[in-house]
Amino acid sequence: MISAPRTPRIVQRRRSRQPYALITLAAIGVAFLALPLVGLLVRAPWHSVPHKLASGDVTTALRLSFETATMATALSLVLGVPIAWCLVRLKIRGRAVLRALTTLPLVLPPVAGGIALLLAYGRRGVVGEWLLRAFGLSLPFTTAAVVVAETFVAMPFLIISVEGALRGIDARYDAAAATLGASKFFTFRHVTLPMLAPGIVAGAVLCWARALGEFGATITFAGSYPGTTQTMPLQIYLALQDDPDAAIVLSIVLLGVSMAVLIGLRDRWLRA
Amino acid sequence: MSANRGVESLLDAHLTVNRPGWSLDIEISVQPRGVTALLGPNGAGKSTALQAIAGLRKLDAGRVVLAGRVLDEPASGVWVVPEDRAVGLVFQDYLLFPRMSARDNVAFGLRARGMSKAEARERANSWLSRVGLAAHADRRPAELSGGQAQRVALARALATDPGLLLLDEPLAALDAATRMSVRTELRRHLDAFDGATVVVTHDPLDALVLADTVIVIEDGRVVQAGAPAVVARQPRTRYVAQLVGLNLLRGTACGGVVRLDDGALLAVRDEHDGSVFVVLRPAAISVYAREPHGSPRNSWPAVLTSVEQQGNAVRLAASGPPDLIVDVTPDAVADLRLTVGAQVWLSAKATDAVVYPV
Repeated sequence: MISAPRTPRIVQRRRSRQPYALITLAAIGVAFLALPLVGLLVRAPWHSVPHKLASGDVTTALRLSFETATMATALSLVLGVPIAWCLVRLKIRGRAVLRALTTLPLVLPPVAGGIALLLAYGRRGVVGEWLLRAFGLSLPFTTAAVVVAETFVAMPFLIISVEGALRGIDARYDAAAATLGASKFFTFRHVTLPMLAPGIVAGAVLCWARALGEFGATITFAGSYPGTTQTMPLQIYLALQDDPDAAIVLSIVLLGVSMAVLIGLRDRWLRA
Repeated sequence: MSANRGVESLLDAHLTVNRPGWSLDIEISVQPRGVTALLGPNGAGKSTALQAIAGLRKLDAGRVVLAGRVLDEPASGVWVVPEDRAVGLVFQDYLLFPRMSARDNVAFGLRARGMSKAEARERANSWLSRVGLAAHADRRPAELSGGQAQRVALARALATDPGLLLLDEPLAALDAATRMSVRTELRRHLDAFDGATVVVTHDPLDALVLADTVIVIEDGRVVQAGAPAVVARQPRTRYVAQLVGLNLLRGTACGGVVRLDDGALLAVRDEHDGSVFVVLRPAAISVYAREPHGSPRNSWPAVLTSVEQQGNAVRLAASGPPDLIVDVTPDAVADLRLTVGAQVWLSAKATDAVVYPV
């Protein structure tokens, strides 16, 4: 027998029931991501933190990491934003190939990327040999090489982010600007760029964070020279071999600084 | 469309655009200070025509000539990019740049032409006060009402001093109350504009108020062109007749009688011969419960297929032949018990039938 008044109650209960399967899986995922950080904090030799931090090596590496990551981000902005624009707004043949090419470093193991960079810009490299002969410039194992390695690995994050934001902007604004007599570049600077700003900032933050943590390509292409190419991740890796406590402290410092920057930026820029 | 021949026209365009399964092929010419309305249903090709004139879409054939200068002519390979055309376009949804103030929107075209910031802003201010928005110069587009945004878009297009102004459904995005006042004001600005104007619309009232020439487009072709009043009074297609709320019938005239294409006979006042259109106003048709006797010489049995309140009148659709729409008073609906499916008699006086050759 079916009693009509009962139906609404069933509907109500259905609506209030939570999708437990999803929530459970999400909780496991969060634990998986957070536990290593907890481990880091629990096992940290807190008594030796002030001592380790006071050593010049840490501040040098930290400063180098910041400077190179910031320069890599700047370079990625200058080159990556135009790439994103071309990918979205130009009707070019082989766009799929171009997109695959510019985002290749996302899937390439960073160490392989470093080897590729050496083969291109190393002393015997395709471009590097010419650079050395023509200008006496040698890129590998310099601070500039760190920036190049970080840019190579991190720029795709910026491109993807800006490309997505650009897709969300009505291309007819360009048409409107054209009927008002504006060139494509004028329109890009005065119309597109301001509308794109949130996407660019989000992309730059991602790019910066990726550059800050870069390890594989950097150590392969730039080596690990304290003061010139030894960034925080490199120092952490080397410390792990003879002074694990120092490695933990350095990891915590990098973690803290990255979190502080990301949270600070998120509050100001990334809130949609 | 040779109405303008003899007078130097500012815009002379023969637009041919081909797309799979569809094509646009129309001619437009507009004199200086002239306002031409492109009227037609959705998908007729009105917006495509505007885009082709503005240079946002290339012609497949034909030409666009503005003030003697060829802007697009596939046959001779001439193509002028939109930014060099001196053609202003106001989009249906305005497309004001969201991150700029109203003033910077209006100044944009001047800045793009290399005018100094101070001078461009001053000009923008004067344009904004001309459209009555001096007090809103610092507002972002999101902070403007629909009517205000429409005026900013108009000022932005006019500020660049275009030779030709294109308006794409300029009032479509506004609510009915705003539309009235904005339409009147738009008319005033178009009167002051000494270039040529092309307005795309699907609202016959826009065409009547704003334009001195109407070109009706259906399915990529011109089906009727002329002065708005003539088009409104003597429609030549069912679409236009519906727009202006008239019954349009077609038949063959022989003296004072027209044999309609659906077989019904209609006595008319004036004598014609050959294929004709007949227009009957819905309010000029009377409804009777039984076959009428008396002065109206035209009467037909019919079945009502819809009964709808429209303002103060009730609009009936009747299936004849001929099929007609009829406006009656609510009293008549009650007295005659007019409901869907009712059998009635319709009649019209010969003097109320407007007849003109096809």
